[in-house]
Amino acid sequence: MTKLAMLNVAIDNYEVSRMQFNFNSSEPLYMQVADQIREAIFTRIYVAGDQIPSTTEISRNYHINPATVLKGMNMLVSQNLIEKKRGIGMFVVYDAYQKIVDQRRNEFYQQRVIELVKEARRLNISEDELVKLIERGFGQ
Amino acid sequence: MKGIQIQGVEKSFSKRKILQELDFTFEAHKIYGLLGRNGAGKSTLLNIITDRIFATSGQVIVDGEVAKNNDAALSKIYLSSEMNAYPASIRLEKIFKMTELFYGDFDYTLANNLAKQFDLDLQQKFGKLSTGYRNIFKFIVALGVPAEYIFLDEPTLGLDANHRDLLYQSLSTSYIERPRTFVIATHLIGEVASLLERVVVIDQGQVIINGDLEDVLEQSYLISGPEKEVSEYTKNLNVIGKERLGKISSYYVYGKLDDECFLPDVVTIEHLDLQQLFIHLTNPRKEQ
Amino acid sequence: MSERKNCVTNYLLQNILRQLGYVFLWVVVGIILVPIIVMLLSGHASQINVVSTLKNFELGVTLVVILAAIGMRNYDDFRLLIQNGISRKTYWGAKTIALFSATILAQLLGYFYNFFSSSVFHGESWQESSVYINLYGNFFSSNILNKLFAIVFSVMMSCFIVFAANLIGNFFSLFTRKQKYLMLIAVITLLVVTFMLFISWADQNVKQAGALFSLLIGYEKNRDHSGANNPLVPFLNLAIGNVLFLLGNWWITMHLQVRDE
Repeated sequence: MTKLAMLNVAIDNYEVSRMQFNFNSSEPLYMQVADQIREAIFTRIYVAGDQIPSTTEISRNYHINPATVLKGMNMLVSQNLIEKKRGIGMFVVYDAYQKIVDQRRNEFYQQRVIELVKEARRLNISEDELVKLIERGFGQ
Repeated sequence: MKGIQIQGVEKSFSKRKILQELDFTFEAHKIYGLLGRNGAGKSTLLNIITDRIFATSGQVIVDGEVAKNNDAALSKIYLSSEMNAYPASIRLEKIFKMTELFYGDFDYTLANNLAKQFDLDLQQKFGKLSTGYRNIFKFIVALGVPAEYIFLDEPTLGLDANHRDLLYQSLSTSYIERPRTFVIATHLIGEVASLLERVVVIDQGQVIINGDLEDVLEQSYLISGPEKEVSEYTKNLNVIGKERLGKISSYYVYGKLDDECFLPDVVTIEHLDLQQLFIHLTNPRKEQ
Repeated sequence: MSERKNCVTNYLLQNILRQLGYVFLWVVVGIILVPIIVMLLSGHASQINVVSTLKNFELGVTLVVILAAIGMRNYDDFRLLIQNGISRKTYWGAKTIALFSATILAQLLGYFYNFFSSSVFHGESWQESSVYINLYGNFFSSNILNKLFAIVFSVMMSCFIVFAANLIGNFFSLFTRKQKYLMLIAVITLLVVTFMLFISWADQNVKQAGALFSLLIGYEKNRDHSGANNPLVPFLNLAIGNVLFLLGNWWITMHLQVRDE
């Protein structure tokens, strides 16, 4: 094994051990697997072209059924965030980060902003007041 | 046809029915959880599958062949259970040899490696082992055997948390390296859940659930809110349990929700984890 | 014979021979060494007659009796084999062959020992002490044929004893420990009662009893009685007995189950 390869393995193992799964959560386990990898790409732990931990590694470290891990991985593949290189492993797609950012922005509006406005209406906060509150938030 | 088919298996002990006409299949290369309360019939079923005891009626088919009195079929199965088949005076490494003799092969590398990890001295005699180490040893033999169907009846009995963790890890590693069918009968559901692909729940001698773990959990719900709204919303659903805390009622539901039914604002829906589902499914008080 | 059955037979045979050797050592200690030590300690060293002990030692019979005792222990083997994916059918076949081979070996050893002791210590040769030779030893005109039949007879007789013990052991392994004790008492009582009834019947019907006995051993009135009785009847009896025991063993083995203990 070359020094570089050893380093890679070391990093991989480190990253694998940083993942967190809540086995008692009501969110299906395969979605949690996908979420964890997506989060790692978003926080730039894995950048475009990086190899992500293999199904085997994740499965072994967290004793999660390999079929479950694979299902999570396949979800990311179908969202074009990672791609499979036959015989080598799974790699982060070049625009994965951008896709995740776009997706999160979209979610931000859909979930947070709309909820925020809804709540503001219930509290009788006017549009101007809300904008001021947001400016105050940014100022902090 | 790959897999183990349980066909109309019934078992009675002096007129008491332990198993009632079981009909289902353990598919090849999957990890199963076989769940049931104490006395639900798990061990009886496993003993029938491995031809240790006879079914009152019905049969077990292994890869298309009847298992009863069939060496070819029986040698594809290994059951690690409470039964201590090995002579007390025999050394552990001799048991590996013996297993190789009867099964035709044995993974010594894996077995020796695991023994080291579990801190198990193979020079010891089988009779000298504590309950916990006896179970660890049987588990190691189970992983080393070349059989296609491995049944583990309460493999973690008497193991401390570290050893249980190591056991689950060894199991998943071995499964990845050599995919085969594992059936884990246990009541430590929370610990084992993430390992499972499929789950079979036995209650009072009947299979009440048999499916992919995810599908099963997907149709398990906790519906809570004010009693009136919750009971209205769930009136056509399969309610398996109820809890009440002050003005909030929680209904446990197993099965499809009614898409036509209007969900009031004050009612929330969550999914259950396997343990919660199991407790409410097999709780005899659910009728009240 | 399938490869698996071969393995199982070898395993069982090795086990039987190991146990045989082990128990035999204790027997030797018990019937040869202990008397010598006792005599030495009590100051009667002059009465020690090792030669006579060795001369009269019936190795073949001793080994067969030990084998019978070993053959009675069945459940442990069954449990071990079913744990290792071996069917009852294979177990029965392997056990039968293993016991049969061990019995033949025990008899051969017995003959060798006799040959050795009679030539070294000038003890009785086996012919002199053989019940068969005394009763049937002159049936054939050929002496070799008579001796050969004597040997076959002793092997069949040994099998009869070993398979009978195996059957009894097998029968008891169908039951739990508690049931076993109760049944042992019942069976012994039954045997004693049957035997007493038979004796009292034979006492009152001496003629019929004598006829039955003659029939069983193949005794013929008109013959000259220096060991020229017809051995076919006892051979037949043994053969039928052996077949019945094997069938009985088969039936019981097919009904063995693992017990909760």
